[in-house]
Amino acid sequence: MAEEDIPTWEEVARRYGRFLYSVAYRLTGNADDAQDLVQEVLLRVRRGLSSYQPGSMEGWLSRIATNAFLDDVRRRNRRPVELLPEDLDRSAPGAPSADEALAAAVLSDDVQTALSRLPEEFRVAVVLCDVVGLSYAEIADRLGVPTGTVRSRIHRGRTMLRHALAGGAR
Amino acid sequence: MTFAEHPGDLLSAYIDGELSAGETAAIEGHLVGCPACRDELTATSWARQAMRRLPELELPFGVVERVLARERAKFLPVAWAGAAAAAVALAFLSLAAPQSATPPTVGRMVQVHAASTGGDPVSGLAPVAVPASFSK
Repeated sequence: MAEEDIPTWEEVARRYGRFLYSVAYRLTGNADDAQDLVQEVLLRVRRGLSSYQPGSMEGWLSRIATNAFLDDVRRRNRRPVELLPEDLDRSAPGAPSADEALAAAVLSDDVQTALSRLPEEFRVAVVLCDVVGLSYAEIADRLGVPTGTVRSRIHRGRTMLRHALAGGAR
Repeated sequence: MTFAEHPGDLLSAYIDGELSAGETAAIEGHLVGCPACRDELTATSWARQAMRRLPELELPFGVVERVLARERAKFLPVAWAGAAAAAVALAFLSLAAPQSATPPTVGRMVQVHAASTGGDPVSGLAPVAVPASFSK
């Protein structure tokens, strides 16, 4: 493939910034972590752009974003897997930042609120399926789990979402 | 293939087209006689659509710029160190190099210029004598 098909780092940042931020926001569930994740992804892109094989730039970026997110989760071990409380409601703890408030006004905030409160493993599976558009096999490969686990996480994640939305966020 | 019990997790995979032909046929057979699973299928489809309708977000201003600034800050000390090393090397070479030629004096340069022009190009006068002090 011709070299000119590989965009510069600045072009990637400008052209795919919205996509990256959207994926990052869905994965992390808040604006601050999403911005940190985007920055980390852009740094990794800068280092790895020469090894990029022209093809699906969004697929490549989402892989980097997912890896960076999972690296961060493993490193910080910040949120152990827990069952979603039965009485999930809309009242998120703490005041939202200005960016979060802005983002909430732009997107479907009830869905985002419910999504943000999903346990991480379910949220990641649902986001990779419904936002990034990966197949179950691709998600399984990316997360290093069997396809049956992906199937279960996606269905349970969607079930939690609809219960949350029907129970108070709608 | 049929499902004696509710297919549960397989409903999402069914909606996503992730099942084999046999599994798909089995689920469809089950759905015909199970209102509860039909309701769950409808609700799951709704949640899936809600996720897929989420809009793309605008990247907040400054995120890209911060990465650029961070990268520049990382490489700036390296650039300065390189420049400093180059300056030291140049100074060393200029000191170490043999002084093979004596720089011409100002007087010598004036003489050469006067000889080449044949006089003052403005006044048209003959070349003046070079001041003794310049000839040293």
